[in-house]
Amino acid sequence: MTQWKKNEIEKAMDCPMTRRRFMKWLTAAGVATAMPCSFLRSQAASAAGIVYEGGYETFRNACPRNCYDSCGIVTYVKDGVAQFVEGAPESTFTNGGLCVKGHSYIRQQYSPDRIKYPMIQQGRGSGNWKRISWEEAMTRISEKLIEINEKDGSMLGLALTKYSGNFGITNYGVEGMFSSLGYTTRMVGTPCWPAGIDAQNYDMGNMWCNDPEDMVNARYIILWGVNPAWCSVHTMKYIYEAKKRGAKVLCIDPVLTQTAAKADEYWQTKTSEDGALALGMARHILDKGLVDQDWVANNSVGFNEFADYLRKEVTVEWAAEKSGVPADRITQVAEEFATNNPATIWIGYGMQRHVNGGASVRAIDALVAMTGNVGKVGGGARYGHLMTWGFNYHAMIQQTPKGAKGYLGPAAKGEFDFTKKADGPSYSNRTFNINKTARELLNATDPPVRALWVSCKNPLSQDFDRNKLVEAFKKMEMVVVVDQFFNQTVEQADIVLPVTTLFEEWTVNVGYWHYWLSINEQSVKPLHEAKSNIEIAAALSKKMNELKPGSCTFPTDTDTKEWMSKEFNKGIYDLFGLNSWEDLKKGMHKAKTNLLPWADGKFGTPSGKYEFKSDLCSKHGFNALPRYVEGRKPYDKLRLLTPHTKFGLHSQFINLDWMEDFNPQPYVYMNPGTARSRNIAEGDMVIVKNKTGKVTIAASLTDNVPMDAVLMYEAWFKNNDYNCQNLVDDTSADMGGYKAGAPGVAIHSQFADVVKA
Amino acid sequence: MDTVKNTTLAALRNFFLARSGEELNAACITLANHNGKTKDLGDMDWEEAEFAFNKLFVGPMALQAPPYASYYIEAEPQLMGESTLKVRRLYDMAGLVSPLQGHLPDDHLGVELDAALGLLSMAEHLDAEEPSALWHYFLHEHLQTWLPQFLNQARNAETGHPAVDLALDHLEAWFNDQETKQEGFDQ
Amino acid sequence: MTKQLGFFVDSERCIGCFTCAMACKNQYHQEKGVVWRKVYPLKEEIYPHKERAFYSLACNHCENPTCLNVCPVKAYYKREKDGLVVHEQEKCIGCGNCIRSCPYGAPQYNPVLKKAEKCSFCHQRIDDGRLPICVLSCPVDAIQMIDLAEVDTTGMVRFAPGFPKQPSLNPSVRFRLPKLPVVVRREDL
Repeated sequence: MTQWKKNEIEKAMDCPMTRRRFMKWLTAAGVATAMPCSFLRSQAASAAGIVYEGGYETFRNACPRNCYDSCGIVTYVKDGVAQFVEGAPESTFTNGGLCVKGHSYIRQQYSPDRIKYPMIQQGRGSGNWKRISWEEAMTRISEKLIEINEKDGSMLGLALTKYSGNFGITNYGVEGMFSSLGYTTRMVGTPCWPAGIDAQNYDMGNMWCNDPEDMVNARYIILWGVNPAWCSVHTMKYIYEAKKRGAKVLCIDPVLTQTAAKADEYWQTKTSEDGALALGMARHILDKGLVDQDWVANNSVGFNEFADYLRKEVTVEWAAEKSGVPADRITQVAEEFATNNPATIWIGYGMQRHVNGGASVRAIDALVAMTGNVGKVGGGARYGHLMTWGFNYHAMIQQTPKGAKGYLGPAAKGEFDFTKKADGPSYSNRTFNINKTARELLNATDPPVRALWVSCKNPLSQDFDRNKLVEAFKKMEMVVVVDQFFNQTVEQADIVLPVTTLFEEWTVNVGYWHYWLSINEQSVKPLHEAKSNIEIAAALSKKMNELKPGSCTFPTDTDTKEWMSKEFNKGIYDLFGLNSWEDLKKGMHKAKTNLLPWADGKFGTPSGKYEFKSDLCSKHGFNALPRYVEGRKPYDKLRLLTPHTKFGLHSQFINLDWMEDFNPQPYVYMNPGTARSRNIAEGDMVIVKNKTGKVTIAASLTDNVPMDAVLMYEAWFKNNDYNCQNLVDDTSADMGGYKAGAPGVAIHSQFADVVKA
Repeated sequence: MDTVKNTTLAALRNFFLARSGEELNAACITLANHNGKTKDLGDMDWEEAEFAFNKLFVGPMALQAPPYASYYIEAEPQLMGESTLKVRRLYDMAGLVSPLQGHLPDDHLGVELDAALGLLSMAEHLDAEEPSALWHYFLHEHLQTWLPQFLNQARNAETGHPAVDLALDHLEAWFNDQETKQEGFDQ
Repeated sequence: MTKQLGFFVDSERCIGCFTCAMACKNQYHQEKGVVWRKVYPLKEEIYPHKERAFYSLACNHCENPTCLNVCPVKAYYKREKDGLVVHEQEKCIGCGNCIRSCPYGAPQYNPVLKKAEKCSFCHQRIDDGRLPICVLSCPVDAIQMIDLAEVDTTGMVRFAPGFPKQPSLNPSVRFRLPKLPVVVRREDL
């Protein structure tokens, strides 16, 4: 081809106007020739669709992952393809940037590894998959569901396990889909934070933290078992500002985390002895007469009993012995905390993932309360909140079909379930503890669990007692998994359904830490045949009703934009100062009220006061006072810690090849002393094992980790079957059954040993 | 255009856009009948073929040989890259558009083979310079930059099946034939 | 001094979160292995806690750039208006001179294009009135854009420990060094 022709074509390609002129020959020559193309269509004479030249279209999205920061995103789209993302600039919290995970979203969106079509596996775990149409997928699933109903006379043989993979509010349509099918089995509870939620509910009557942006006003900040430098990067700027204004920052953690390196002082503490440490500080504050007597007298009950307990059973020396923190540090910091107001403690979720987690949180709450720091700007016992979550839950609330039979007895509710108990029949869903999924699925009877639907969750990567879970999956007659990537749970599915990413659906998002609200617009078309969770529900409902009229009440026609708009109500509009959800297209909005909990002294407890002594807590089987409770007795030589890494959010992001550039492989982190005594050198392959299972992994030596512990980050690497859950059993945390549906799980109350591989 | 070549090209397109073992079977029958030779496809296990096809080209696991140009052309393997959009613009110039634009990348092998059919037909039947210039561009400046790598990756993949080999062989033969033809065209 | 844009690397604020590095990838979609901005953990001799302090470094847009000086085809030029060193990849012949001569490893080899490439200081964004994407995205403002002609460099370090000292190149980057916390270890261990 002559050179000028090539250049002419390339020039014409770049500009739609010249493209059209190049095509003149088509009309001149007569297009009426029969085209052998069976796929590509001839274009209409007039221009079709948007032609993009030069600039980008921008859209608003929101990161729907389970993270304190819940960022607003600005997505730049060109030619219908998302090109890059920035953080929302108008939110003082997001402040223009995301994190290492958020900025890899474009890669997640266009990864060639994304699941594209509904597929069916011929033989679970075989790796032999066939592509099926959505029609066929819905038919197969519907036939199974109808069969379940016929066999058992109810839908209790169908179970749902879902949690925080996607917190876009319309995704509660999955729960809605389940309700619309009848009374089913639900995994309820949360592995996250339930012990602490209950603890704060016993003490104050709600989990309700200060606006994190007010931390700049704190004079003293204790970061207790929390690692915001990794897990809440956007909050770090407020901690830095407080420091700049003269605040002291103390970090308490078994491990020298990134946050510890940024604090003024770091206390290496013995895992799960945080209750003792807090009580030791409380005893010293009491002895020194530094209790805020006025606040305590006006706003609390039970302080005298608490003080008695401290005097009789707690000493600073005892606390030092239990926690490993020197007595002179305990006394000094206690005095500093009590005399530098406002003072605040950020209680981390890792801190309460223990058999005594709830008890430890109550002790730390007490420390904040007795020093008069509850209800103050810059103060507070910060944990989380759900104050901005008052949507309609239109997607979640669906009617059960006429004549549906279910479980006779009360059903537990998860912490994100804001629906009111309906009047009517005494049937309910059968609820199981999500933290004991393996055990519950195996033992379920009358009826057994026959079909499992997995959405917004990856149990075979995340759940505990993994070997038992593999057994439990074998028992299922049908496993349907809704996901974006071929992870460990999809490997064991019968049917996989491709789901939309945040760019491909409309929804609305809030957070459980800051007080901002963000719209999530659909910025690009769903890739391949991906559908959103509510579209999947609609498709299922259509097929169910075709095969058996009246078997499913979920609307058969959905539109994510319409359903997003249906979530808004006057409460949300007033809270955020909106006239319409459309206002959010211009940017995130912050709540106008509810930012300063307990300032009026009106607590949500039975007494209406802060309860140092909680009769309700006692009624539920715990101590009325925030007494010390022992941690779990070690069942192996070393403490095993499996916290979160900055590079991923559970099993998302680490599998992307962009992330592999920065985080190519997993390690077990151990103290050089621990390694030396086992003849292990830096980089050696080792086996970490305990009664539950084992993992083979490379060792990284550092004294960030104490001599009596080993640390591995939970993660899913792409071509690596590493999974730290092999070693984590499903022992419960103490609390969680009150407000979160089921007790939590003692993820860090685990032990193991290491040998050279 | 050679009717036989036309049918081969169409069969290749159908192969790579196949959604089931039956569709693979139908495409392979046409390919096997090439040049009048009948190959015995009777022994083929079409279910196994479907499993292999999916592992290589569809999913749900990570693809062994992604059938998208941008995977091979782009500086980094991804879908909907700059080369995908270039190809979309080229279709535009030929008056063609993918009905699944935005959902299915325009540079999926099956779509590109469909475009090849269209361009070749236009070049043959229409009295204008532009279609063959476009076809020539598509062949040399686009297909040539990725098809050989795709063929290589598909052949060296962990999974294989004789039906897939049949299609890959025909694809390579057709491609080589086109390249030789085009060189002659300039003279 | 004429305007010279550069980076202020505040290792005291830096939490090694890699947001800057990934934001750059998100903007330019570089090939796997080609990383324009790297986040280097400081060696334990410099900062005693492993992987707890970092320098985020890209191209230093030197006053006297060696890449420009060794390029045989003049594929580099230094912008008069702000001192940014721009690589024109279309002119690049992939000879590797710049890659070999830069002590900071800024130019890297792109094996697909068979050419060099490096951090551009997001000069297209700058010309559009925007910040470089790394600067915009950092959650703690640990990477800042500075004008060396104007900025108050009191307390800033020019050649931080571990950073190659090349005064003849005069890299347009300044640092703040990380502080250490008071570490209270367990008494029972």
